[in-house]
Amino acid sequence: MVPLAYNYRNLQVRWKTTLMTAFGFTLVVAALVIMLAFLNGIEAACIASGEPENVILLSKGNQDEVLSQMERPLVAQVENSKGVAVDAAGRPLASRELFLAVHHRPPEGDEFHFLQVRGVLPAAFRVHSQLHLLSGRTFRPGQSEVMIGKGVQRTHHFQIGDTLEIGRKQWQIVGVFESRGAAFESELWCDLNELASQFRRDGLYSTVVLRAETPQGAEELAERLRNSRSVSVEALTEPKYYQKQAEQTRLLQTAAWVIAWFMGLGALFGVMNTQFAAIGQRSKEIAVLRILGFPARAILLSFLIEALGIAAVGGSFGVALGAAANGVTRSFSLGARSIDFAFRVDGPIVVCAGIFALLMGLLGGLLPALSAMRVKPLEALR
Amino acid sequence: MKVLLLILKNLRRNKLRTTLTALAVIVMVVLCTEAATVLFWVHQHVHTQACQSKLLVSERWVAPSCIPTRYLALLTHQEGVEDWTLWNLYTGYLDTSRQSSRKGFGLATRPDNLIAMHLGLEKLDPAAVEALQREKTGAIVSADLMQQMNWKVGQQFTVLSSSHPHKDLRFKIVGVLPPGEYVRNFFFRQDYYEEGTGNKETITCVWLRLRDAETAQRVASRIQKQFQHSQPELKVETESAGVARFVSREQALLSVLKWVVAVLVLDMAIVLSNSISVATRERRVEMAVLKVLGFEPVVIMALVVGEAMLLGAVSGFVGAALAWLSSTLAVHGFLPSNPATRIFFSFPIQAAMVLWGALLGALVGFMGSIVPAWNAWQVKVSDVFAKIA
Repeated sequence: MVPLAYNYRNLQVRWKTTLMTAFGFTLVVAALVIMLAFLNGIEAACIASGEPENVILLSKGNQDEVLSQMERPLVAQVENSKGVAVDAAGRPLASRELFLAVHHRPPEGDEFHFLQVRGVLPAAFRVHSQLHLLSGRTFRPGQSEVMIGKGVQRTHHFQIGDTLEIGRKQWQIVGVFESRGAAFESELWCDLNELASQFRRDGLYSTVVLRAETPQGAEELAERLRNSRSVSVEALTEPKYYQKQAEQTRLLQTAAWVIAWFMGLGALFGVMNTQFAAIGQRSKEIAVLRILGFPARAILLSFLIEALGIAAVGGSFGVALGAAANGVTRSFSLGARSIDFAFRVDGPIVVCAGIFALLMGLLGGLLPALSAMRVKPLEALR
Repeated sequence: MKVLLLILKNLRRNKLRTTLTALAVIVMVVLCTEAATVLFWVHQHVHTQACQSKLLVSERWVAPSCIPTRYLALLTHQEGVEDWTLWNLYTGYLDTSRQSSRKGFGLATRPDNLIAMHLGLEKLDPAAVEALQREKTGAIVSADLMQQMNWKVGQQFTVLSSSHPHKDLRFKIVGVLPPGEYVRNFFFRQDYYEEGTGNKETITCVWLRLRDAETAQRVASRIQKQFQHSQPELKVETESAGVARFVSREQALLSVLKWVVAVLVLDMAIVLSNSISVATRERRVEMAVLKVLGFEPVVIMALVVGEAMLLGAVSGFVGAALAWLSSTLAVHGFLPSNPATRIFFSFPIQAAMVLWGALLGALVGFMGSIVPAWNAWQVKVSDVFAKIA
């Protein structure tokens, strides 16, 4: 039997030390939750960006839209590939796109910012089916009009009716769209030909997105194009393409865990310190417990439970504190492009943080608990 | 001196507690030192005066920039320009796996003033630059790439180009860049770039070095005005503004890093405070005796604060020294290359950070000892002796 009531009363009596140690855990766990939510948010934005029926084509050797350049004859050839779905009028569902990172200087500021502009044709809205207009309207072909993703609106505080100086022209914002948290929400969309002529990119495309009938069809289409001898392109299904983009956060993931373990180690020494101090102060009480008939094993468990209790309480508050970051939106650069994402605290992160806190509590409490178990009653009472 | 001796004796009294507290501070300072190095780097590059007198000229609207080579003479002959160089970006994969982790970013440039025109290359071996001038296919490669690819100086490598399809180039390594500024980069000669890619018409960007920040501002506005109606138009910004623009893209990451540093500092203060509080509670009787012996309350406070600060400073010193040692060992190839050690190639820890670690530890010790010191100040002789009685 473990003297749990005694443990509980002890934590109450030494509430200041207990609270301070638990607060140490709170901070460490909160930091871990925020770091993981940051990475999780980026990954979620990347995953949401791909439609499994779509195949994205880039110029050979390129994995990034910003650097990819494809010429018109090649694009015309791949659009008619076997396996590309067709619309009601029998036209292939293919979206020619020109993606540019342009510099923008707000009228009131003197610093340049990047804006990501995607020039598309009307077919793009049939290929990227997850894109929905939130307000306003779509741009008109041949006009200097743009629609902006809701991420862009949030970051730059642009409104419908505002004009942006991009290149030598003033572009009017005519609509705001969303795409289920996808990377497109960090972009401005406009007419492909208008953009190409503005930036001397006539006849050049960054990517072509082909839509297949089914996800399986898209896989086959990508495979066929990759192995084709007649066309030289990089072909990936959209989910795979964005998954590859998300791979750039692997290094950060490792860094987050290294930071978390180091912080955890600090908290571990902290809890060890508290527990050793508690044992030092309570050696007589431990001796009395032993004389009352509590076995050494019960003393060990009792002190372990105390350490775990501190870790659990501190960890719970840490998760709650970290969860406050859930939904906070920021932008992050992935290669040459940047995406807007929201910190995302989900079940696995909560479980992970909980296990982390308990593990630190367990490791921190083990040595002091072992030393408590070894207290010799007669010597302690002398 | 007497106070210092008392502090030292107190620290030696409970060795286990002192060791555990020190270990907690050490591991947190190790982390704090690397995080602070990153934040200092950003601050230094955005705010130093040197960066204000260097101009980066690129295409006004689109990235990656593409400036016609014919602009070069017009830019470099501007009044006030002391020196100049150019960059042409050449990216690609370093092996056939074509993984993004195996990507290298080549910068074609002038070899003759490589050190003078590039921030962070002051420690580059001049012999490497001379070798680059002799060897047309030469490349000076970052220490990080060298270690990751297990390359040696004198070895050859091929870049499977992603920026210039079907224009794969072969290089011979003639030197290694000092760690810090250029992580996945390698410098090579502009004439080899032109020959290998066939691109003689465009350059990615031009760097101009001016006498001072004021001249830089004047030349910047002159160039912008001169090329206002050209196609393509030019954008001129100081080096620090350019760095600030790129840093702003990583703002979310920097915010998380700042949060981590704040948590670490607070956590260290809590651990120290907890430890000192326990020690103060245990020594209430002694403190009462000291008061009876004539010690002023302020001296007793100083004992508590001094103990925390000394413990913090020594632990901070050891923590920062360990971080610096790890960084130095990693950079010199004594530690295996992995994602955890590769951060040291981007942000190597300077020896001066060891002192910073000690100061941080002392500061944290001070923060953590305020409450225990206040409690020590308030120890009432009569209460303590009444309890004993």
